[in-house]
Amino acid sequence: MSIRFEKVNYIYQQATPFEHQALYDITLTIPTGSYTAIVGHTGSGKSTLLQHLNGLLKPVSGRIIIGDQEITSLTKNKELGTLRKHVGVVFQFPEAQLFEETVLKDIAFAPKNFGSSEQEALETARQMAKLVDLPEYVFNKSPFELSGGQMRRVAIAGVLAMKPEVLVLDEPTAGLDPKGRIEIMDMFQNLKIQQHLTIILVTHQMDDVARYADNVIVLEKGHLLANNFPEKIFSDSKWLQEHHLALPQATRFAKELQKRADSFNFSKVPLTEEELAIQLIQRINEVKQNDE
Amino acid sequence: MQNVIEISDLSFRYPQQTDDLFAHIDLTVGKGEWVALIGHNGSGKSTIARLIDGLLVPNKGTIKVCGLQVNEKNVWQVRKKVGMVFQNPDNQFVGANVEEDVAFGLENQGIARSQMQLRVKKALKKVSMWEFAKHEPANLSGGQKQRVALAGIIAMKPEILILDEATSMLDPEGKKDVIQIIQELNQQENFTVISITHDIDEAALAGRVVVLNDGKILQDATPKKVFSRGEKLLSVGLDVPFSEKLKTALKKEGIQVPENYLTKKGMVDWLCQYVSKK
Repeated sequence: MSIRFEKVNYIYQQATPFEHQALYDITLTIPTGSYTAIVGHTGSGKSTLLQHLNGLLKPVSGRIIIGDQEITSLTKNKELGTLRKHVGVVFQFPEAQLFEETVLKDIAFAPKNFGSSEQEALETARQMAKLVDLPEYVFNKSPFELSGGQMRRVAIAGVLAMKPEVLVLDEPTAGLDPKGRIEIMDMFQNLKIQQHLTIILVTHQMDDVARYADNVIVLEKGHLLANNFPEKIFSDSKWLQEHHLALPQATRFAKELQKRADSFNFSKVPLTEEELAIQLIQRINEVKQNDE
Repeated sequence: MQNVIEISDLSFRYPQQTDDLFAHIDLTVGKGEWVALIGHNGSGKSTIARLIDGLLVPNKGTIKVCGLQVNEKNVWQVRKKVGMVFQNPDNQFVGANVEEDVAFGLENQGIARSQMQLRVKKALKKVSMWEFAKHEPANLSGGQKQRVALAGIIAMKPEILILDEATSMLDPEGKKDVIQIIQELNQQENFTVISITHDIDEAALAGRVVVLNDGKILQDATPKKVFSRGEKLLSVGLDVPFSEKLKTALKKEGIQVPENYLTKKGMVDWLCQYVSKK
């Protein structure tokens, strides 16, 4: 399900003294099956843009096309029901929204709301719980007895239970320890491959952008600054610095290495330690051959 | 070195727990030290911080802060010695604007107005937020709010600064700003710092890293020693340093890498040498 924004403007509290424009003429495309990262500082418009993806906010002008549905300022809320089934949003700290007596009941809430029978909903819940790697022994426990990482998995399973085609993630690893972070990010990667999901990730972690994303959207003060491949975005370190954006660790390390020794030049910007290692070995072998 | 925190034989469990969260813990922290407390989610790091501040009461053992035993009688005096900054910048802002927020603690202690104005100004200057004195919290970034939280604490003139994942919700720039201020406070004003963190760069700044795991202190050593655990750091709640990640990736490709921990600079040095030797 592809997503297209055409000249989207959004203004909070329009026509009041508190009027504040959060998005300016945003035009962009998020291709079907892509892993798109949205980056930008606090106040750049990330959250506002995100809330347009499932119709929580509607553009003041311009339009958004998601699949075969068009959203403009005139779109009525009741027309958005199916959209919300197709686009699942995992908000920050989603475990705060858990409320049911058991893990399975909590996950089954959405499918039940969208018309499944109790039995069907619980079956879906069971599948989703397995999909997010929750161990079977927690299925009938209270979600509040689980660890932070597990609670977050329950909340994510609840969103997946609507069988969305697009999964929107707003800083999904905030507050988790590094191990939990890696596990959750790998889980999304597997979900994308197995379920053919389109993933949209809002994050500050440039290492995650470099490792997982194939499309990057950069926002600044409500304007679209760039929309390109990660290799392109991270190849211009001067531009990144001007906009106070960090480089992934591997890219930064490669730059430092280059500064020290001219013999290290990289034909392609390394985005992860694995890419960096492969390029380093190529260099080492070249130097070796020249010497012989 | 004079000890500002002395924990001996400390055991604790929450009322609903059947097992101790940790048991028989001994830990001392000297004046002016910077100690990073690390451990995975649920290992009890934040609980220790709350015990030190008297927000929780131990099941067994004693805690002394600047020579004062933490108990019902001393708790208010102890809290004058300890300043805490928590994770979420939005949960700590109590004033209507920056200035009032910093003054909140001083007002509660009945400090005279003229004194108070002086201390608020000084504290805000220290964190480079004086020009924002009249600003409302809604217009501040997360990093700026955490700096205001720090100013509120500096104004109270405590001995010990406890940072409970104080930078984990900030963007990279906010993180850098806050860490730089903490460094200045530690080096120039001799504040004792205890930072609870998962961030490898923050832990690297500490003089000592204390690893809490399975209810006990697994290791208490320099960052260099602790970081040489390499990939195993993940299981104790810390990210793996980039130089270690790169070493693992190089090893997979068949390159022999040094066993000991290297900083990023150390790794650059080693690679340069490796190439020139060939």
